[in-house]
Amino acid sequence: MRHTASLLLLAACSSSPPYPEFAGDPALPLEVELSIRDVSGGLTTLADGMRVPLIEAPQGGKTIFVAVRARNLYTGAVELMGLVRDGTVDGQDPILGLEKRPVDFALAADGWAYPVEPDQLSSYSNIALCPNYKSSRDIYEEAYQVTVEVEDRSGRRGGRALMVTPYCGVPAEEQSCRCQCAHGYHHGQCTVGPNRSAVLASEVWR
Amino acid sequence: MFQRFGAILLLVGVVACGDDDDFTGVTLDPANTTGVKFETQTFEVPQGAEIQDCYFFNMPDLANGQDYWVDRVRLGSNPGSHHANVFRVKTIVALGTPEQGDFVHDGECFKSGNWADWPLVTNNQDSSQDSGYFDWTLPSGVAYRFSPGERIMVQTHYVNATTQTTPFKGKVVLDLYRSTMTSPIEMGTLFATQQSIRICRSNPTPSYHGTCSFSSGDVTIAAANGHFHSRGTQFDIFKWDGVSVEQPPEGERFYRSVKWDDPPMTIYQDPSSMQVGEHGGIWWTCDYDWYEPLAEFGGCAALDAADKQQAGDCCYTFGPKVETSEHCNVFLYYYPKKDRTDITCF
Repeated sequence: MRHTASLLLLAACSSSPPYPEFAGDPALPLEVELSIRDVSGGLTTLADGMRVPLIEAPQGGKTIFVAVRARNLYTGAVELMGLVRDGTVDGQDPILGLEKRPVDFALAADGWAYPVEPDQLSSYSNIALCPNYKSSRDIYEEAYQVTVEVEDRSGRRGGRALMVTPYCGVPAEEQSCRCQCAHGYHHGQCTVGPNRSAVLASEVWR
Repeated sequence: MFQRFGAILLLVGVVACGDDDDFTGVTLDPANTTGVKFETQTFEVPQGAEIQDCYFFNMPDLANGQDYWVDRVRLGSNPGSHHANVFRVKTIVALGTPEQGDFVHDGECFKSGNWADWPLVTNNQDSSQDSGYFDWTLPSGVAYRFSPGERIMVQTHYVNATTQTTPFKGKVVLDLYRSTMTSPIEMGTLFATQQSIRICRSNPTPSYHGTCSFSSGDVTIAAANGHFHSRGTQFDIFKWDGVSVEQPPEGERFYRSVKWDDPPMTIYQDPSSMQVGEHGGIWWTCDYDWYEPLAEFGGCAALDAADKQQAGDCCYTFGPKVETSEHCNVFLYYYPKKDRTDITCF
């Protein structure tokens, strides 16, 4: 009850939409389910050991896009944090990519809260993995730990961590993806672009 | 060896600057007699316009075919500049093609995916009339390495609209000063950007956080600056241990900008306080405050029309246009460069 009152006050002060409302049971811990987005925008529920596609992000680089549904939390503005670690030891191994973003969630008929704009890339955890200068291995076809944590405005937190194996998710970009996601990548190493017409500047200008 | 570079200067031309009697514009340094010089022409920035131009040149042969070192950079912009960025050209996709020659106006020059693997050399966001130059002598014993013939892009972005104005004319100059050191420590650069950002009416004060790690750690940060547009209220960069999932404590913060149109380029004089250990990197945050877009740029209708998902929430999304989109970019300089690579994080 105290959470509800404070959240309504928050909403009024920040001009947020008329939610938040509570999705689920306040007596239960925040529960999270993850899905992975493929290149065509389809979603597959994420499970331990699953292969996940690396997709070219709008500005460049290869990213995995993790979608979240959650319950037992206040809807409205929710913080998503996504990260990938180089290994399996919780909290010990280097983080290869971490980002944190606000996403608006709303209650759906099935009792779970989903992003209000589910098709937007901004509604996903955008975990950029390539190029990567930290991993001791290739990014593709190797197992890594992905974690997504959710925090609502009241401070309720929950998340999931799973082992996944990234792979180059766009057949036409396989060669450039494997180059950019290889251990030891450096700038200008990959001259085959998505349209197979890319060249290295030094080959045409010197 | 200077003939080739002389041709470049001839091509870009030198035009007398401005109509204002009190303003002379940025100029090359006549004292730079052994290094590399480049300047754009002087150009009009019409009222209401945003202009982004990409200029290309090849580094001259200054050392009989061998690589050489640069230990001072001086990048000057006439007031009104939104940014001047310098990159090493690597993979050519749709920008910097032989057909385009040495100059591209707007178009492909606005599409950041075209330079996704082009390492940063230097940048300047100084838009004031008082200074206009980023003039930096690198830390003692540190220098950039260049190869003869290496392709370079100088990108200029001028705005003469509402949130930013260009009172005179646009112009950018670049001096690279050759070092006499024989085996300096190599300067590295880091460019990082947070993508898929949205600043919307329904969630008007969002914060976005990103991280970026150095390849081997054990580096020293020499300078940094952050870049966002007019919805940006605070840009912070912290040293990060590369392992923790919490935002680093305030004591680890080494950069803050609260002035989107003239952000500081912070140069760190004490290297002992700027070292990043093994696994380490940076954590940065961009805070925004949404406001109603101006009617002269189409108001919310224009933003909604540009929103691919037609969310109808008057969202500023990731993009280069100052008036209608947002950025969250880090420009950072460190040494030593390791594993033959600069750093880019998306």
